[in-house]
Amino acid sequence: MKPGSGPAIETRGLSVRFGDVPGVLDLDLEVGVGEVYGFLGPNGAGKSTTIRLLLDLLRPDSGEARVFGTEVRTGGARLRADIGFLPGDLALFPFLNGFQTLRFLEGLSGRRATLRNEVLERLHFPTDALRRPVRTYSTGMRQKIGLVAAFQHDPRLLILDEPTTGLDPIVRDAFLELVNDRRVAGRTVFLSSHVLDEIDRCADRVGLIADARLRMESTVSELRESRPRTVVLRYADGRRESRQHHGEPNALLDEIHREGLVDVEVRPASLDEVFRSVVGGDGP
Amino acid sequence: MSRPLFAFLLRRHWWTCGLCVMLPILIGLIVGVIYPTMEKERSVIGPMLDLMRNWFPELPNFLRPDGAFVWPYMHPMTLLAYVLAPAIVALAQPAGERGRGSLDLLLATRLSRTRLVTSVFSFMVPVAVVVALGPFIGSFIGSTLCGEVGSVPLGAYLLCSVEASALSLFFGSLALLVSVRARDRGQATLIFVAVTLAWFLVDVVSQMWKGAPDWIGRASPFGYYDPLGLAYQQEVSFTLDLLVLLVGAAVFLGWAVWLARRRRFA
Repeated sequence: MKPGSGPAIETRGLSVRFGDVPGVLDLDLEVGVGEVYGFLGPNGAGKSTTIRLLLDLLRPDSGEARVFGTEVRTGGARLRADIGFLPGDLALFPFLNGFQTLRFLEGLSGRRATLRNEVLERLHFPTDALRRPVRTYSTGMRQKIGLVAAFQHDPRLLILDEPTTGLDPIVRDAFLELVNDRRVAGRTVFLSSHVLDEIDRCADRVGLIADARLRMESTVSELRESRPRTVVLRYADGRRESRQHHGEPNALLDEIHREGLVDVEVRPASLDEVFRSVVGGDGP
Repeated sequence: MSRPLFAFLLRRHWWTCGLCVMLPILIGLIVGVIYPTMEKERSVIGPMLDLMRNWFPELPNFLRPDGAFVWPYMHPMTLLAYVLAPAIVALAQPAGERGRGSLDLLLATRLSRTRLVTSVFSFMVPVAVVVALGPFIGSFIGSTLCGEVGSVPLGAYLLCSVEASALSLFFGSLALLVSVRARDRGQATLIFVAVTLAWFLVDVVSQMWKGAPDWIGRASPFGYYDPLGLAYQQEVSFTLDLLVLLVGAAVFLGWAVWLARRRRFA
């Protein structure tokens, strides 16, 4: 494959172990250009390890990882200039203020921060706080600075590890809109999270990792359809009956007792239920 | 060399580096202020210095301007400044950033592991030069203050500064190597301090042990720094000393780059 072309992310048989503890095992992943990919998994499943492998911050024991068709180990500086990254355990530089932090990371990225002001505004970051040292920031403000740093140079690929940690619901909504806008602009977003709601709202496809292995990969709608729906029946005498149904709707109609039925509510399986079923109840 | 990283390092370390430069300047100033008194009281101070020379044969003659004003080059605080100024920079990057988790943020940009190491080294070069110029400035100001500037071998002092900058760079490169290898700044600092102390003790032993074989002094990098010999225009192997220190620094740098590239973790 010609370097610079191909899927945004591609891994083949990617494995890494930390002594006896598996980090990631045999990971085959493909994320297309312009796609928002939700990478789900419980704590310690291997999400952050996968991200570190994709950025060459950690070297695999076997297998390979490619970004835009280029092997990450050999892609070097040019490849990483196309990536915006938010680490899961974000640590900033306490002696810099917000503005200096963003300028410094802009300088290191080698690209102009064309989106900085827009992202600051959309994430409701108070402009006057930019001149304060980051050590005085709250967790949420630090997270916003990390997000602005990842988005500011309009990278082709955004790799975001637990991006909504510490954000209030309004800013979280603004962030999800921002992700959708990047998708519209043809950018790729690889979003790791264990908050299912946000993946549900913005991802095109979902990969589910548990115990260091990719357990499931699908579109969000396919994933939902693969699970039984919850059907709630309400009767005139106040009775309420709930049942799980998977398959043809006619079969359900044959099964239910229709006398006195006043309401039928069909709830699609939530991502949360899918998640719990795959990871064996060890959900977030 | 990464310019944003250079500016970042400058912002982060200007205060400690500035302090390391100011120390020998201050020592030179103090010598300049007390030199006339020492000269006046030579009948008292002379025997005291002779007595001390029994334990420290390399103690300069404070009753002569060329001896008194070489003191900013030899004061233990100056040696500490030479060792610490570039080492503080190197121990903070990459080991310090690794320990606090901000290294990932740096290395996810265009900054490669190799470039991080070489950029930190590039920053240490001017730091080492400026810190080594501190004693020269101190000696110059001090000797001017007491009207002895004409009796001071400033040319030889400048050579001392060149040697001092090589010594400083040697320790900076060692710190960089340890920083690349270590888990975090704490571990890196511990290893660096242990190695430096061991070399310092070797140097002290070689000075205090009368008739010690030459190789003992040469087993420590401090043995390649001889301001007294240069100031008294004794026969000293200036070029060889300089070469040994610079080659040592280059070896440590090369080793650090090699290790950084091969590290499994950033």
